[in-house]
Amino acid sequence: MGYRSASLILRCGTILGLITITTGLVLGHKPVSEMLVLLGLVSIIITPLISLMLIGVLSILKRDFHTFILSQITIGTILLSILLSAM
Amino acid sequence: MLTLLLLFITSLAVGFVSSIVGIGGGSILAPLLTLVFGYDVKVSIATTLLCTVVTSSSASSVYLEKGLVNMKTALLLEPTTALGAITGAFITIAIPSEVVKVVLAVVLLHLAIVMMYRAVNARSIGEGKGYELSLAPSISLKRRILAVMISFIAGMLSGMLGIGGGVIKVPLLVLVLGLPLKSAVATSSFMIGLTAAAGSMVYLLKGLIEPSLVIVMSSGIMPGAVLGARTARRLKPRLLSLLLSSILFYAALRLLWSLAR
Repeated sequence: MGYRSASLILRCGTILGLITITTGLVLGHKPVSEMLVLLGLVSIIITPLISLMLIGVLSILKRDFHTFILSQITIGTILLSILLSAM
Repeated sequence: MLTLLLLFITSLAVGFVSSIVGIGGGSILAPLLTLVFGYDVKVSIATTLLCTVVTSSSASSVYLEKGLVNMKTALLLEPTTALGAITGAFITIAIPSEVVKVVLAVVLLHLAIVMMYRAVNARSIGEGKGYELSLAPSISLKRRILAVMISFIAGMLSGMLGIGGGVIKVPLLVLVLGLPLKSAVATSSFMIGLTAAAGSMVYLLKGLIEPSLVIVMSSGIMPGAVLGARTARRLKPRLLSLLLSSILFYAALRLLWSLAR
């Protein structure tokens, strides 16, 4: 228990991402629509990460350092992937 | 427009059937996008993987709220799983589409056989063992290392082929790490979201994701899955499993056939 806020982020983040992509696709105005679509896609992808970050914060508040360290390693690995693919 | 409507109906059906049978929709949607809708196999995989983030996020939000996710186990396996997904995504980008099709066909054949075996034997993992939600028992270091290694392979397949990888993760969590089935499904769902997100980022930066397909497929799979979960008790999962395994078998053969021509 205790992950209600992380669950809320997961739900809202993906819905927000889908709405942003749809708005971008409907708008059709080139630079703005492309930006909105990209923003939507990125927000869907980073939603689980934000949720995990929150879980990390919650675990450190509960003095659960084991979960905190593991969550940071996971976030680090995924951020590394972003850096690698951007290169 | 008609293609998108057809894809929406297909995704609705996939969501419906896959939630009853207990697999993610990725393994069906990726080959369907290539074989029926004519998209490049890499675009199909990348787009399906992003849809997996959407569907597993909405599912795991429910599991998180109910406290079913075993966070320690998920976070123990997730770094290597994510690393596997990134590796898998890079492999798919680097190798020719023909090779990706062969790998996808082989995995589909394996899935079809596993599904058919389960349907014929009418026995799922953990059935009859009195699994209820409890804390994970203490697991030896050997088993943990084995689990970490297997989860890397699960992640690699996920990133490479756009599938969630639940078909590997759930048995791994139950059989190797001793988690109760309910908790294993929830933990696997939470992990799938993170794994797919890691792989999707690689595909997004390489420009392989088709946004309109993400919208259509996500808005089809999610209500389909909810509908499937509600009607699951009234339908015969064994029959659906057999049907789905036949579809996967056919898709695998069609993929191989398209290469032979």
